[in-house]
Amino acid sequence: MVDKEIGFLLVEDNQGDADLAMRALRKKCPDQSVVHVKNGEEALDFIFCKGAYTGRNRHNQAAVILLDLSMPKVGGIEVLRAIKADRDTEWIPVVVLTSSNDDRDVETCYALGANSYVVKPVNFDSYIRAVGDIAHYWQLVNRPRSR
Amino acid sequence: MQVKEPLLKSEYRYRLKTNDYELPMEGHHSSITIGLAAHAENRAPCYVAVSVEMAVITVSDAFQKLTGAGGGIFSGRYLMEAFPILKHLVLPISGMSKLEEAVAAVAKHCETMVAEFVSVEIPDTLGTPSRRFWTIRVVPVLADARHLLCVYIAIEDVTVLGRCRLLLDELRHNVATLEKNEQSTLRKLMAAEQKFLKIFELCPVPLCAVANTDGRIVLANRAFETASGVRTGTCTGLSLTDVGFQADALVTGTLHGAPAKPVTFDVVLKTSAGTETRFLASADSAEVDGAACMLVAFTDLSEHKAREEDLLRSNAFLDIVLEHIPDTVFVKDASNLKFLRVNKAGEKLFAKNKEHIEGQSNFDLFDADTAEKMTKDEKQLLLTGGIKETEAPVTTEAGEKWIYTKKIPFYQDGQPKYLIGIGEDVTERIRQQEAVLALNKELEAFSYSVSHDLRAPLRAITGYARMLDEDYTDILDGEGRRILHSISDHAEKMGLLIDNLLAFSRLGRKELSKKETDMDALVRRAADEVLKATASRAKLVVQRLDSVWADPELLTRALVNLIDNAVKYSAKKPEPFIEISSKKEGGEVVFTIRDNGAGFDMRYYDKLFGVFQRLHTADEFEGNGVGLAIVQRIISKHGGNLWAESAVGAGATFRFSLPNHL
Repeated sequence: MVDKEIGFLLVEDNQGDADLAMRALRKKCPDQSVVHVKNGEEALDFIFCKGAYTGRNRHNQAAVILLDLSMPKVGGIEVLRAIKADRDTEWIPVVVLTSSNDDRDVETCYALGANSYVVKPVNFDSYIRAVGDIAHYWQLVNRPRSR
Repeated sequence: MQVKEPLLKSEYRYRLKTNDYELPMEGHHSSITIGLAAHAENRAPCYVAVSVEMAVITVSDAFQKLTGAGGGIFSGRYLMEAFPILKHLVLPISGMSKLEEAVAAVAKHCETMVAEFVSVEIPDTLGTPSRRFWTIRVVPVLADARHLLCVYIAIEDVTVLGRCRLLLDELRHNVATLEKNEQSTLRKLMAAEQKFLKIFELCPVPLCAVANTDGRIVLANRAFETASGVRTGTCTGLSLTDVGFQADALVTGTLHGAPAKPVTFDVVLKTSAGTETRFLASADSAEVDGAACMLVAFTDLSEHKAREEDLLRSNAFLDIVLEHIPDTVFVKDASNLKFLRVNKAGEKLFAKNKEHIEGQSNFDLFDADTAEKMTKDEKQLLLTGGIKETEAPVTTEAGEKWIYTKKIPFYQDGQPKYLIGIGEDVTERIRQQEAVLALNKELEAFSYSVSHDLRAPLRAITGYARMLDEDYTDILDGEGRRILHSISDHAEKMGLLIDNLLAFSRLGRKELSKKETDMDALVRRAADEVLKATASRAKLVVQRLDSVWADPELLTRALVNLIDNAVKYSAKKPEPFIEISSKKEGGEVVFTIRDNGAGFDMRYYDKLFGVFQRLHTADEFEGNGVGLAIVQRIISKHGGNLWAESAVGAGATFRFSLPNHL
């Protein structure tokens, strides 16, 4: 059986931001499917096929991961570190979406191997543009090894 | 008479030839038969007889020998030519220092002339001149009272005598000099004695000299007379007891018999006026006018005591002051850096009594590392001088305290003597500072997270409002859509506010990275940014600007805010105008941003730079009241100042200064 291709994995605990991101992705990449997980723990379970996602095909990963930083329990930085530390997942482009434009966060994320760092704009149009464009860009660039 | 003269002449000639002629030794009217002095002493006669014209008539062998003329015929020759040595003679007779002159004078006046100790230099056999002394007699030889026969020149060599005379002269001179010196010494001695007497007289300490023989006063000064109340000059002859001094020493005769060592004793003076004064008498042997005496000096103990009490009082006063100073005050011995003195606050600091601090070294009171560093620093300070200030934690048995210490070396005769220290316990201040720092950090973290957490719901509000607008626009009427847009606008405004607040709080944390900053370029960049964003039609005039040492990124932000301000408030003028200039003033560069806009009321000046403080309503001018607060934070972080002046409707002038460290 061939798994359905996953366009984006959206890791976002805030429903408002999740709705905005989904809308942005739908507008820019209407053909791509989006999986939305609501915290870092669930994200790791999904990616590494654990917990509720045990038995999921580990080779079927999202083309791009959109990752929020500030989440309860397991934060975005930890998720990023786990993705980039695993040979099977390190190739997946990770776009960090966050409210924080703290220099230290930016540095940490890039040091860990984040591919883009987007500060969520308050303005709706800007938000749609920023998130949609960058997600679209990485979606086009990505040529996963497994394929 | 006619016969007598030729006879006499003939006899004379004969006698000259036979050397049997006696010269008159003195006087001039003597007989021609006076014998020569040399003859009488059996010495070879030494003479020459010359005519008035100085022609040699006859000369003795001794004369020839003495003048070194050698043999030959002299008779009839001119004297000076026959005996050249005579030419150089200088006679000690005024007006006739030359022999010819003397002969002429003798011939003229017929008076004998004697020149004693005439110095003459005669070459010896080896040709070296030797100084000889001659006594020269020029004697007129008379035929009778009126007729001169010839002039007789006799020379007696008196060299030995002459030398003796020279020595004698020298001796006399020396004696005279000595006498003169002695006189001046004597004068000095007398002057010194006068001076001493004057000092003795004027010395404010009562002094007297008491004769050893009978204990009576031989000399007393004015102070003695004043102290004892005796009339001037009436002391002499009295004993000390007579004057009113009462002391065992006077009774037991301590002063009598000239004690070998100086003695001191207490004495009470009871004057006739009834006053009683205690003195300390010090006596030592002396000599006054050749008599053995004791010189006694009296120290007024009442005065001394009063002064001592004063001193004690002032010491006690200083002690009180020192002990009550709430800061640690200590004095260390510069030679070994041990504590000499410490006050109560110091006892508290060390949690030790004075006795356990004084005499102790740094190593006795502090841990080894601290003591070593402290000792090294203190030695250095004693060498260099000045004041050393330190603020450091000090661990004693009382625990750790932060002490702000000032140490000052004290020198005596150019040598380090003491190290004085003042230590203020600043533990509480340091704790407060640390608490403030922690609080600041907490506050920053708080405002940071609040800003972030506020942004998420704002994004949601604007997002959902937009989704509503996009997805349900057909259902909403005009008013509904207006309200919806209004929700979006306000939410976005709040977002901007939060962004500014965030930027403001981030400024507090940001480290400056200063470099030489070209203000012309910075202002151009900032102005471009503002004018592009606002589509302003303001006329911007930028004068040539001085460069500064600053963080260009932060300064651009400050300039953007200031220019933005100027553009915003001048936008409603028909010809908006903004001028930027700079000027060096002392150690600073002052920048001026002047506009012809709405200005502000100076009454509200103190609200101008506060966060969220606005002097205009949002209807008049847009803004959120953070811009100038940010500018001020940036400028003060650079060590500069920001100020402004304005009047309502008359434009505003903002100035900021930056240190001129280029």
